[in-house]
Amino acid sequence: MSDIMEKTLASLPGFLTGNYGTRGANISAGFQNLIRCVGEAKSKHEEERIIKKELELLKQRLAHPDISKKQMREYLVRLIYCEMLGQDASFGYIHALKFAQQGTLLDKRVGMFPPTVSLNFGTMEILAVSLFLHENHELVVLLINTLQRDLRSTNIVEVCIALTAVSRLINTEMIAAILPLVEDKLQHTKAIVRIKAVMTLQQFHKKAPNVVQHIHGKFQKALCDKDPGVMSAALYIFHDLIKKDTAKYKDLVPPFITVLQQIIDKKLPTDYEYHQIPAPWLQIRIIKMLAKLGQDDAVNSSLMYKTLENTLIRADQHHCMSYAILYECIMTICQISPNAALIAKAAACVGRLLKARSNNLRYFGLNALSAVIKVNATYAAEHQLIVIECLDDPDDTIKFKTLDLLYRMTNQKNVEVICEKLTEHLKSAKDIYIKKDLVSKITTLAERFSPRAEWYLNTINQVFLLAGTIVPKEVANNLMKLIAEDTAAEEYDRELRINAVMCYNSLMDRPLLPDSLIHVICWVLGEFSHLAESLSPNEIVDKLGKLLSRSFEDESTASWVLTAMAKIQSSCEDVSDTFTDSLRRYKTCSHDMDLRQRACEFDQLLQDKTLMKDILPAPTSQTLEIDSTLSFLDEYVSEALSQGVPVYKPKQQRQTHQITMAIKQSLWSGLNFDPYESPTASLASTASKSTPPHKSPMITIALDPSVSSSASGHSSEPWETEDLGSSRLNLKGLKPVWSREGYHGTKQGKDKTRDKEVTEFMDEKPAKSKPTVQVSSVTATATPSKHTATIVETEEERRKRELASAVFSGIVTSEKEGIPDEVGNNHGGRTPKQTIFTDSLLEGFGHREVDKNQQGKEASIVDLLSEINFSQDVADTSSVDMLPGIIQTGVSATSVGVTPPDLTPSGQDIGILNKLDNSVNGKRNDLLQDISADAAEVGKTMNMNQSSSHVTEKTEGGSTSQRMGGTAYLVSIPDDSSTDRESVHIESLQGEARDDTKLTDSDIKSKSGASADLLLTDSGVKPSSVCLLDSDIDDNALSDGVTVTQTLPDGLDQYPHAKEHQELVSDSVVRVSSCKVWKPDVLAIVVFITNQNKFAIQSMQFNVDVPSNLKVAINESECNTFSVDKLEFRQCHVEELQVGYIGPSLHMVLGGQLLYKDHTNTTKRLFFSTPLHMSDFLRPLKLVTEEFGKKWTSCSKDKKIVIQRGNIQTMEDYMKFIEEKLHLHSVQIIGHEGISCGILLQKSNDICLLHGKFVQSNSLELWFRSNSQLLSDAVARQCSTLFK
Amino acid sequence: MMQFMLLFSRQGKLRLQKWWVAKLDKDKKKITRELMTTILSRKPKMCSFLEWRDLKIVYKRYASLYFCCAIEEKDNELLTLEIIHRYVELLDKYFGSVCELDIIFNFEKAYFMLDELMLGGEIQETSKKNVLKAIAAQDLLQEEADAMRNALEEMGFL
Repeated sequence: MSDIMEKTLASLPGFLTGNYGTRGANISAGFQNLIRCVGEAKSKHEEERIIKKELELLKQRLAHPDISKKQMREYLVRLIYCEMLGQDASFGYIHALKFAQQGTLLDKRVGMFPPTVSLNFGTMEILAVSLFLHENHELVVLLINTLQRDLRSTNIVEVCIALTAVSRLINTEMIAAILPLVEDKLQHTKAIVRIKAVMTLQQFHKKAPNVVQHIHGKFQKALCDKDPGVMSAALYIFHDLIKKDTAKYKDLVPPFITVLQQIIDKKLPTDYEYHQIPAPWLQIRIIKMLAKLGQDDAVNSSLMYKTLENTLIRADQHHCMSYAILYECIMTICQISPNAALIAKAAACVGRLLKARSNNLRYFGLNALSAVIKVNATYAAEHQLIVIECLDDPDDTIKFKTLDLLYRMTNQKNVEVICEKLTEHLKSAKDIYIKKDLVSKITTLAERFSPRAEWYLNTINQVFLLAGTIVPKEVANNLMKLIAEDTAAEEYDRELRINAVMCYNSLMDRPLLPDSLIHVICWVLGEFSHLAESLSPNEIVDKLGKLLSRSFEDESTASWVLTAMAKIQSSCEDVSDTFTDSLRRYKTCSHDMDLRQRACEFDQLLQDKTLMKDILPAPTSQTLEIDSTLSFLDEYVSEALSQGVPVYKPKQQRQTHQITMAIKQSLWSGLNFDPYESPTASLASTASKSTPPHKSPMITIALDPSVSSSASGHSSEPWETEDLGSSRLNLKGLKPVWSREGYHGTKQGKDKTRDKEVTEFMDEKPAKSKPTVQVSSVTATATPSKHTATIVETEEERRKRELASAVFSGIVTSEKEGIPDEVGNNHGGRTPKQTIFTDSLLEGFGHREVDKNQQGKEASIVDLLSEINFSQDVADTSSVDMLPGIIQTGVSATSVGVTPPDLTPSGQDIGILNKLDNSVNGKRNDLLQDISADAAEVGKTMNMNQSSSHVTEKTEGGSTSQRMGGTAYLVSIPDDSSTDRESVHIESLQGEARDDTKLTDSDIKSKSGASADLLLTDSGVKPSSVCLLDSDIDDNALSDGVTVTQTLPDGLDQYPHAKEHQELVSDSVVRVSSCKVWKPDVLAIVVFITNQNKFAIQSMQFNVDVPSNLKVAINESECNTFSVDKLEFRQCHVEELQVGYIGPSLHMVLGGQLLYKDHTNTTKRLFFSTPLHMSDFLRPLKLVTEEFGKKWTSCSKDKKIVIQRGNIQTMEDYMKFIEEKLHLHSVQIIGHEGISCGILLQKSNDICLLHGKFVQSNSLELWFRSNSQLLSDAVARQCSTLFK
Repeated sequence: MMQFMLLFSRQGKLRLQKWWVAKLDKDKKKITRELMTTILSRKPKMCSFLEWRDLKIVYKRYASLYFCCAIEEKDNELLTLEIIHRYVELLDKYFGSVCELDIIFNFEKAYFMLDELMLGGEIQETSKKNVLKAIAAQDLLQEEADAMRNALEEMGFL
């Protein structure tokens, strides 16, 4: 054995005689002996033999009935030791348990002794038990009793030991039995018990959050504990809670900041100092939580800046712990809403870490740099030489961290160098995890930044050859898609395809090919081999035939090969023998059904060559257009619904329905034989996962976009049957990650000047000779290299420098770009900082996407962001944002001023309006004027038709009439006493209005066509609108002096609401109509029930059936019915239904019935139904672009549709349309793209993001994102119907 | 959260293992073996961190003993290094200049110490004094129990 062991053995005698002081005293001879024997063992086998023997001995001893506690303890020690050496000692577990439990028996036997000295739970037993067992072990259940008893003990040590055991051994099912006891311990007088109790509860919370939900208040109390230890322990729970729901704990920011400040000011007891650093663990925990709380939250972030800066400054000692704090600070600063000065400070600290000698610190430096460049890529340039050095470090950990960093700073310019580096490492890597990581990195980068299609082809082929088996399937699909895609340059397409065919033709000669590469080869050859004239079809078929003799991992591969052969054969006259032979072979003797069927089919097809050509045609460029939302079925669906077919319920709803049914049944059937649901199972059971449906090769080719979508984690869930189909069939819906022109962002509507600069700058570089490039890179590398540059460079240094300049090319250029911008473009309002910010944003998004491994699908957001024109002054944007607010106030003043049923003569009325005009005018600034050019729409947005007249003052002729219209509308708010006079009023006003309209007809048409339309609506001409003027027309109403109030109740009309009342149902007696009011937190449906016959109706009862994804409240209480005793003639009952949102759904229909008794006392029943849309629950979410970007990457479920944009011509129109119809807030328009975003009421977490883009020839690509696939789909569906 | 801690000698002998996550024995053995070979093959100047599967491994060598911890992705490696150091400090204080032998012969004490320092994979008590106090209290209980047992045995109850 080794010298260390010898030394150990040499010192043993002294150790045993007690020279080591007291510690050797309680070591038994048996244990000593065991260790000695093991130590002396000459080989692993001998050691094993000794242990086995020992275990046998222990087995016998433990089975002995009379065994003393002391002996037991020793046996357990030996048992643990044996187990640690890798032997199975499970027979001893039950003995350990038994002994742990025996305490009770002993107590009984020695009942006369006070309980304080009870002998129940020895530390050794519990240790043994907790080492041997784990929470899922079957024996744990036997322990509960003992643990409960010990928790009740008055001895602190016992309680502590029990808590330690509980935290480790209790599983979710048993928490309930222990929880109350642990909870009690939170009030314990001793801090140590409280700490352990809090930590134990944290474990419970981790295992089953819903079980400890009711004691969140106690956690708060623990957080305020006077003992810093308890507070510190409570932070763990809060860390978990904050991770789950950040919004709920925002108010913790100020106290956390105070605590942190106190810590760094050394206000805590010195006990908590660690090498003179005050409470470092506590500091780091708080800093970590601040990162979570400050993310996407500028307000709370700004509170943190000062303290974070202080912490950063205090952490300047040269101690490992200081660096740990420093690192966490940097990470937090990069994560919270950015502050340029603070980031600069953090970046300076990164330098400290990177320049350190210790590899540990360099590792941290690289990590921190990755975080910093997310915010601002230019900081990487400073450290380029160090980074390159790290890349060559012999330490793998450092090397891979550096590769990771490079991966994160990849852009279009350095992608080739970086991919080359990664591929190099892929060659040498052995560990499967590292290989997988590298493969995903290379493929992601290649997909996102590839400069040329050939390069992409070669890179991916290389990856396949190096690590074929672990390349994910979608990489192959993307590759095929790239080759299949048509671009504008036909010649180029052809060349690429020929290239690919030649390349794959030669690859077939390789002895080993991974299955996924064979798939690609087969498909490419099958589709395009006819393009390569130099190759004879039969030659290729023969080669493919040879492939068939190989053994494949994936059984379907043979089908791929066979299909490829068939495709090639279909276009040539003579059939190769290889093909017919293989057909014959597979037709009869293949185990794979799919393959066999294919063989049979192809064999049949060979009989009829023309049919074969029809079925397997040479590829054409035409793609199928498919309506992904299946909106053509809408009519059919509504027809079916009207015939009483039950509404389609998504699977998960059906399941819950079934469960409730099952519960009902079990209640009725008497006995319930089902086991009770476990407290945590309920959540898990509802979440079901989809497995992508098996696809046969031929279909896969046709549908490859869908394959990539499902493989990258967006797979449609199984219950969305329609959608599953649609997303799989949708050929155009998904945007390719990048197209042949390279990465998408490069060509689309970028800020032109900037683009030019970039290209100029880039053009310059290669034009110069190599040495000049070097010099320029040296000047770019700022600080450390400047001096060394003058010294004669060694070959190695030069190589590194060249590499550095290549690797950092994109980043250094972008840094330089900012400068000409500043000089040349100042009047445009673009400051260099903003430029940098654009870059950094770009970077940031890149990484987050990559982090989530969502293979570049969302790459186009980067396009969008790169195109964001930052030249717009921030102040401008904000004032634009404020504008609707201003107008809104003006308008709400209107309604407030007029709504009370005062007698309002026309002069006064107009006066009010004029006043309003003035006020609006007064408030409106220059910007408003720009907007008011399109004022009708502004009016629309506010859902206040009349206001349009005020704002469109400019359109002179039209405005008069509009104002009249507006007045008419306002006046028409009823009042019993003034009806007659009013009606006169209205008539006269209407007359006036009409005249005006006539007079200025042309004017209106030319200037404000939209407003004129609105005017008509206002006057209640549309039959469905239940505006008061309706009742004006009704002679009865007026002659009887009774009006029917059908205006919105007070307080509701200030919210946006539907312009028209919708009639739900009516008969000769009653009429039910409704109006939707989009309150911020709820959808209010105001129901108007009007008695329209001459007699009173009685005992009216109104029921609504709510879709299961919604809930309805009436008068603040959750119910779905209300009743009215009596409704007099001409009276109208108004009721507000508050519809709340629980989850998304594709179809929502609010149905219901109205029961009433008419004057003959017969009960009548009216049924109605009205559709609800997702937009009814969407509310605008005011975000700025950066926030939007962050949210975009954090939402994982998306849905993309392409629709005809119809009469929407400009982006502005589109945004307005979306704002109006979908209630999404317009975030920004950039060129032909626009982003909008909304939030679902009540659920602050459910947001819906939309990225719209005009694509060629009158279509519009809409890309929805949210955290729920169903939500994205539902909004997409509504949108597509809206656009029809 | 720390997932497990292993103590092993330069010869690859496991001296102590503590798992805060439930794992099968088979997996434990496999992980232990794999990590031991990886870490023992690393050179002294190399950095103390490893990315291993989805975990991060932090290790440090004290004399002939390697302390190795597995932490999760979001955890701070340097901080973990300091947890190891604090643990060594505690052992040192308790045993009085600790050596590998102390841990071999008194490994249960080493476990108790770890249980006082860490709970459920998180650091529980950062104050050195408090941990030592807790251990002392446990020792006292043990002694009391022993004394009681002796008395009982003498009286013939057991």
